[in-house]
Formats: sequence, C-alpha cells, structure tokens
Amino acid sequence: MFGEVAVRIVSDPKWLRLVRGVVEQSCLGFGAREESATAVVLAVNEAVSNVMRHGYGGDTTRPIRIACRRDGEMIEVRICDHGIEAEFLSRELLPPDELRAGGRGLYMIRTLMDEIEYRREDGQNRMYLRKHLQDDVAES
Amino acid sequence: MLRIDIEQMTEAAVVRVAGDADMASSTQLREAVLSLLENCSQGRVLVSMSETTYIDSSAVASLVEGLQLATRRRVRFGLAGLREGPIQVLRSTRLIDVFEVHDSEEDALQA
Repeated sequence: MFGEVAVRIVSDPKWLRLVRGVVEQSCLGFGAREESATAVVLAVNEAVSNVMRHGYGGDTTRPIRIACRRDGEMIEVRICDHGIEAEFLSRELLPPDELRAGGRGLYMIRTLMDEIEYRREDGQNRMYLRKHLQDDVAES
Repeated sequence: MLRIDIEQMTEAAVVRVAGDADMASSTQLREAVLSLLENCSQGRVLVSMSETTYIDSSAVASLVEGLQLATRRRVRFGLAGLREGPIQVLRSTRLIDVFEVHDSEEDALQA
C-alpha cells in the first residue's frame, strides 16, 4: 500500500520549490529511481508554473492542489485548479533546437512524461501526469 | 532562492548563479545576463552554474535570450559547471548542443 501524498498551495511561484521537494520525495518513496523522480519533478514544476502563469494569469492567491500516488507500475501526479480552461495541450510541440525564447514548458512535460490527461469538470481543471516505472524498483 | 554575482575580468565577465532558477526567480537571471550583454560589445560572457541547483523552462528562456543578444553583439557566450539537473533540462529541451558548455569555470576561461 503506497497511499497518496498531497499538497495544497496558493498560486504564488515562491511555493514551487516546496512542490518540487514533495513530488521528489513522494516519487522516491513510491519506488521510483532518481532519474524517473527527477523527470516527474521537472514536468510537474512546468505544469504548476503554467497554472500560475496562464490559468490564474499571475494572481498569486488562488488554490492549486497537487497529489501524487502510485498506481500499479506507474506514478501519477494530479494537478487541480480553478483557473481558466487549459487550451495549451492542443498546441504544437516546439521543434527541437529552435531558438525561440519561450514555449518550452509544454515540450518538457510531453517529452518527460509517458501519459498526459486533461479534464475540465465543474469549473475545475484536472491534469494527470503519468510516468511508467518498468525499469524502476518495484517496491520501496 | 537565487543569488547572482557578476565578476568583470579583463577579457571576460562571469555571471555566477547560485540556487534555484525557476518562475519565482528567473527574472533576476534574465536581467543580470541581458544588462551585462547590453553593456558589452565584444569579449566574452560566461554563466557559471556550478552552484545552480535547478533551472526550469523560464530560466532556459533567459539563457536563450542571452545567447541571441550575445550573437547580435558578437560576444562569446557560454555556460560552465552545469550540474546533472540543469543538464537534464537542457537535454529535454534539446538545447544542450546549442550552447557552448564547459565542465568548469576554469576550463572555460582557458578555452
């Protein structure tokens, strides 16, 4: 039994460091190797930053909930917020090596995670980021 | 938390970046790098990252802007002393080969 680890923050970027720490320790506790844990941390940081920047438009007072769990041979991170609907998943991936300054966050999420799912329900955004653990330690 | 120190040498300026460069702090990195390059028309700018513990896509964007401005101003622009985490970010964004990367600040200044 691995349970679930969750953290609820307001949408202030100063809490990103806390989120990274919680996600990293959760992944390691759920049996992920360091490399997989780092990948999940990078992707979650980008996803939560997107909620702060785009979903809430820079308002630093709105709620975001981040929950991590192990589901079989997979780590799943669920990010919930009440910001505007996320349309960014339909954007094209940035071509590699293109020297444009911005727009790499989504590229990172898509390349680092195995599955991304997004749902809009009852005015709430729910993003699910999943990483397979086939090559990781099965038990912690 | 991000700390940035700038050392101006005879032929190079070194920007030493310590701590996490994420959405909360990457503006500091951007302003430091771009203002240094705005006042430099030749020579070299080195971003020393041996104490940089984390970078996200906003920090990467700041470094890309620095590289673009350096190219326009004909200033040599490089990164040194990258830890594994920042290397993974530059790899995942496929930018690791776009930057001039050195193992350490000392290596870079001798190159």
